[in-house]
Amino acid sequence: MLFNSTQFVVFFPLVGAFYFLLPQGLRWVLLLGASYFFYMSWEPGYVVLLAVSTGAAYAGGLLIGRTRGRGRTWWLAAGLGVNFGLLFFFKYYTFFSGELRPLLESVGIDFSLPASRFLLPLGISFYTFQACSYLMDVYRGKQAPERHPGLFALYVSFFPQLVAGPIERAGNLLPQLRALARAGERHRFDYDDATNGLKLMAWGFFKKIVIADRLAVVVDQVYGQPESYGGPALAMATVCFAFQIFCDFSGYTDIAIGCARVLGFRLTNNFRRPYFAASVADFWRRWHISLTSWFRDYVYIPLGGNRVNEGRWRINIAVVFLLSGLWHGANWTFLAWGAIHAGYIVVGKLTMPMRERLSAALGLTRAPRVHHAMRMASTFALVCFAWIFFRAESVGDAVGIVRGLVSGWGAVLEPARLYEVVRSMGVLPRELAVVAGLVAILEVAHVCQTRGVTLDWLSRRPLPVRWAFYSALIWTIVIFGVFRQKEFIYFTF
Amino acid sequence: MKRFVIKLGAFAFVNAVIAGAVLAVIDSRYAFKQFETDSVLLSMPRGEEIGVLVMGTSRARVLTRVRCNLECLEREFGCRVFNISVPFGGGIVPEKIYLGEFYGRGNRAGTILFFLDPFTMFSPQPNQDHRFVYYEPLRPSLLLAMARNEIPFRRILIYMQSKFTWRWVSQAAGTVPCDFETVKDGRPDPEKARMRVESLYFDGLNEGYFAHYAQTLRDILEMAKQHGARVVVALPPTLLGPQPGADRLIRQLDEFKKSYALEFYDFTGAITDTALFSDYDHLNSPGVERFVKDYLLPVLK
Repeated sequence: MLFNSTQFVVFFPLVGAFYFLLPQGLRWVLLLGASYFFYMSWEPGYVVLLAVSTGAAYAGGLLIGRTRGRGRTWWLAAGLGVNFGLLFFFKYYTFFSGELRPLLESVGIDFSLPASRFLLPLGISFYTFQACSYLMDVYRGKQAPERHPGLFALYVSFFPQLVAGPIERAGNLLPQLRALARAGERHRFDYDDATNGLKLMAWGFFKKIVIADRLAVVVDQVYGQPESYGGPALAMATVCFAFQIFCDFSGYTDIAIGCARVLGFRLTNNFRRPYFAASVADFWRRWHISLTSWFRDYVYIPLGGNRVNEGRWRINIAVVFLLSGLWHGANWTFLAWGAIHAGYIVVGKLTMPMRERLSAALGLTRAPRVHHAMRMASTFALVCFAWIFFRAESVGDAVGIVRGLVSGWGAVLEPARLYEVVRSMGVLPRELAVVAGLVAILEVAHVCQTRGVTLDWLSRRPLPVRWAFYSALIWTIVIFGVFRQKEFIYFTF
Repeated sequence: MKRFVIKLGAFAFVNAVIAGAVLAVIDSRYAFKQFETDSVLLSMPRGEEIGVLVMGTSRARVLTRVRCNLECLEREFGCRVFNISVPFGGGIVPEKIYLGEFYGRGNRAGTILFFLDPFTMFSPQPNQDHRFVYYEPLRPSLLLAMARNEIPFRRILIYMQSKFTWRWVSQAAGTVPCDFETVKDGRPDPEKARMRVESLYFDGLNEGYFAHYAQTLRDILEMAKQHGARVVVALPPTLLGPQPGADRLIRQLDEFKKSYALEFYDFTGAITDTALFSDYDHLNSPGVERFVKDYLLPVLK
């Protein structure tokens, strides 16, 4: 079920209404049932994978908690093995078997693995990572094993964040779920939570339906046949993709966090104005925070983090970013994207002293705002360059796009030719102007957020001002929205 | 929770009032003639006596969407003609809804001339899944008819949303005086014709769907019978050759003849001159004139 589907328009109010009407002790049952229904509405059979992932993590957590010595490690390995095994088989098997065959052929071995006939299960990368984080936290003693199987199943399958995150840590979500089942602890309807949750959902829908799905028209057109386009169109489409993927994914996250908040739960924030980052490392502290922190806590730090020699640190960075790339999909394009980001971090650190000297020589240190703006712009350009590999159908296409970026810039100087370039991207110039205006609204909102103008600030305004703002947001969605129920990009990961 | 529900209701009410006011202002600007718009309801009369009511797909829509075609029909038939055919491959369910609207507005029709394309009987694509409502204004009666005829909820929502788009707000009369486009090369390309036919049958010749839409057809015939209209069903002229499923449709019409006084004519191969078609399955203006004079007039007189 998509958040931007008509089923969800019926599903969520029903779940919300029944949730607060039911006695508190039964609410987790409703949420668990609703979460499994939500997942099964896509492909009922694949609910087995969700159940297996949950079962392995639940049993693994209990056994780790009960065992002492090396047995704990074995139970951890078993729990992780089941979850990563599911992930590998359903997400990466086809890729690896496809790549293995030519590799073996090159050394004279004629062998091929049988083909998989399974679809990529929705959200498998998210819920298996969530289950694994629980197991590792229990193993490290940071988290007590959860004994209530229903609450644990709800932790793994909680519908707002089930298929595209945020990847919740047990330390954040499980205590909130336990409070539901605990006698004496009241979990009441909260007016502020409900209204703020709905506002956040509306903002998420604005990002997804109005901005991301509009930008998708341009991006799909150009990236569908990149060889037909010159530099200006490729550059525009790449910038459009940068905002499309941000609005798509952060829009989903806002809806997820908003849904949970209406029900009284607080989920982890996943984005913090990533295109305001002043370095690539800063970008990763702001983009898909729940995944970045997962890799930091469970891969980077166990590998030694930055408390190792320079060479080892570079390897650690490469491992983390290549795994992050692979997490996004079984394709060389994602690996290339991860490798590019690893390269940015490593080269960024290497060139830091030189860049600081250059800034001082140019007098930029005396104009910190200008310096910051330049760093933001250059970071955005680097991130956009990497997005080319993320979005392209193949590495060959991506390389072709990079080559194509340098051609055809003469069109920019001639309005008539520029008009034709825009038309060839599947939109009218005025439609592109509308999208640019909407992106500008988004970024103005981000600037406002940095200055403390948030939902809470809005909630303190007089009623006519608030309602005018909410109505404007809703009518913007209605008038400018693209209602084709386009899937969220991160659903495919 | 009570405070939340009351405020949410009040907010929804305020916005519904705004929406209603905006729509009323927009709608007051629109009153088109049938050759000026793809919308049926924006040109549909109220409480009028219509001589010939045309129904069908885009193959029938061309009879009035082009100004000189409509003038030809009204001149030759000697009566008022109104067309509720659905453009862009519309099917039998939209026709049932439009016929209900037509009678609901107190109109009467002497003869219903129904150009029935067999492909409309074999798939939901030209029926419940068709986008016909996007051309129509927001009307409670249409919403009710959509719900009754199993139009998907998603489509109903998009229909409502589409009335607040710039495209709807800025629509203007689009008149085509006459259509003299002809099929290139002077003869149909068999491969293109085959591909065109294939593109119309989204679900092949699905008997389950046929049975479902046969019931819709029965509803249309029943409605016509109740309002005392003469019903003439015809397969429209086309360069695509015999239509898949036509035999099945004709058998069904024979079955209906036992209960309803309908007349049936097969004009599939009646006109083969490519100069009379703007494409493989739509007559151009000279084609419409020939068709009306040589084939429809003898039938309707």
